[in-house]
Amino acid sequence: MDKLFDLFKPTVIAEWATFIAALCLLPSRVGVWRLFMLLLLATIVVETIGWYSTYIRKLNNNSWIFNLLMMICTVSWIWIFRFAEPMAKASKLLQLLIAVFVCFGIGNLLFFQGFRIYNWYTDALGDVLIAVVCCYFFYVCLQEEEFRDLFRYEYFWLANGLLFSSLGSVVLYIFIDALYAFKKHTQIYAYDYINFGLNFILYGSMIIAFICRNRNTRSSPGS
Amino acid sequence: MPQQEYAIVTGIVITIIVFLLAGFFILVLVAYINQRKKKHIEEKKTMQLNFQQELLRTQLEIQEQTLKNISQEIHDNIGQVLSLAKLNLATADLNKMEVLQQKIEDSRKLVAKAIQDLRDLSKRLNTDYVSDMGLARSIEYELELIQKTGYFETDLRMEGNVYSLGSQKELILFRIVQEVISNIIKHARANLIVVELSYGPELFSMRLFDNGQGFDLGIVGGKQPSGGGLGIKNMHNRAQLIGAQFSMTSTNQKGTVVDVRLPRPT
Repeated sequence: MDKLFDLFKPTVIAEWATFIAALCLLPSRVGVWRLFMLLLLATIVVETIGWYSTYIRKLNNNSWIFNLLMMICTVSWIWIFRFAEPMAKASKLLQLLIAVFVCFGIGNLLFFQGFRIYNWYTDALGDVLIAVVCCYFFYVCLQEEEFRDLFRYEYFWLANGLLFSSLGSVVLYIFIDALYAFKKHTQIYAYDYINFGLNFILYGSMIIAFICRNRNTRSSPGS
Repeated sequence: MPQQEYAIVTGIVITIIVFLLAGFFILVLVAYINQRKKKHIEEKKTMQLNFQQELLRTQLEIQEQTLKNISQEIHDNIGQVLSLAKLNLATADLNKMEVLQQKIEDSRKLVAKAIQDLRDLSKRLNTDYVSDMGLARSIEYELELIQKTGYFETDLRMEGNVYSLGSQKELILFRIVQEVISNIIKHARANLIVVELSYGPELFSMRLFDNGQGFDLGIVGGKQPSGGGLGIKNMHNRAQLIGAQFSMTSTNQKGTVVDVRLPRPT
């Protein structure tokens, strides 16, 4: 029972909730946003594999699969902004950021942190890039000539969630060792609480973004 | 050791909170700027709507003024000419061939003049004549009409190469000219009306003046657009609407000068 409790941590519950929301709110007409279903499914599967290998198989290392998931998610989140109307002219910038991230990620995986530990250098860089993309997205939204109600715009909510999550995560990953040491000595799960808080913001914003996407594509099929 | 770790973790938590607050600040800023943008766009739309309404009102006023002028022209000029022709023919004595020929010739000239005047007038019945003829030609025509009454000397002075200011702006400028001329006719007791058009490389300027009695701008409210003098206020507002500067100066017994300056459209 304890083992099962470990599987359904608050973050995983939030992921499940978002996945169910994606299933309900993202029919075929939402276009590329259906990718979120795959990403969330992959996240849940990876969380389950991680739990299985740690708690059932008693394996010491499950970082490789989380490294892979982190890279796929970061690339997908940056890439999906390519389909936001205000970012129509930023396609090359996004491609460049993705290329930088992938090169750094592969380099880190092969030559620095490797497969056996979580590649938080890569994660931190991904968070910085995502924050840059989100801020740039806000900037181009404000530069548009026509008014756009941002609170009803799915990409705004996505950027909102990603910005908060990435800003918090950058600090979290930079001090990850200190937080783990603190957890070991005091049994206070500071890292987990902060991580859950950030994920709660991320997945909450994503669900709102799904609702907006669903509503905005009711009359016309989206990209 | 735990004390030190507590301090580190507190520092980390504070840093994360600062980062999240920075994100929150960005979002608030974005929402605020977006709201301002919405307000700005709405104001712009209202201004455009007002401009269109003012333009429509100007067109109607021009038509009204034109019809008044035409009515007066028919009554005072063409009517008189045709009456004279009729009188000539009515008093023609068939027994006096020389006198009869002279009268027929005079009547023929009078009818020809009436036809020519009618032709000129018919052009002005075209509602878009200002757009069709352009500002300079429309003003010239307006002055010709006033000159014909015999009460006023008119003069149109041009400087620089004529260029279009855009049909909407020209329409409003023409309406200002009509309004000024109408004021001169009604109140100035002048016998000279001069319009100067200067087409500069950067600036278009239009100056209208008369040699009338002038008036006290303080009383009519010319210096204060928000004051009295609805006609002057209208002209001022209309000039503002097309981005022009409007000024009016008047000296007792020395006439009134109206100056309108507009940057050349790019």
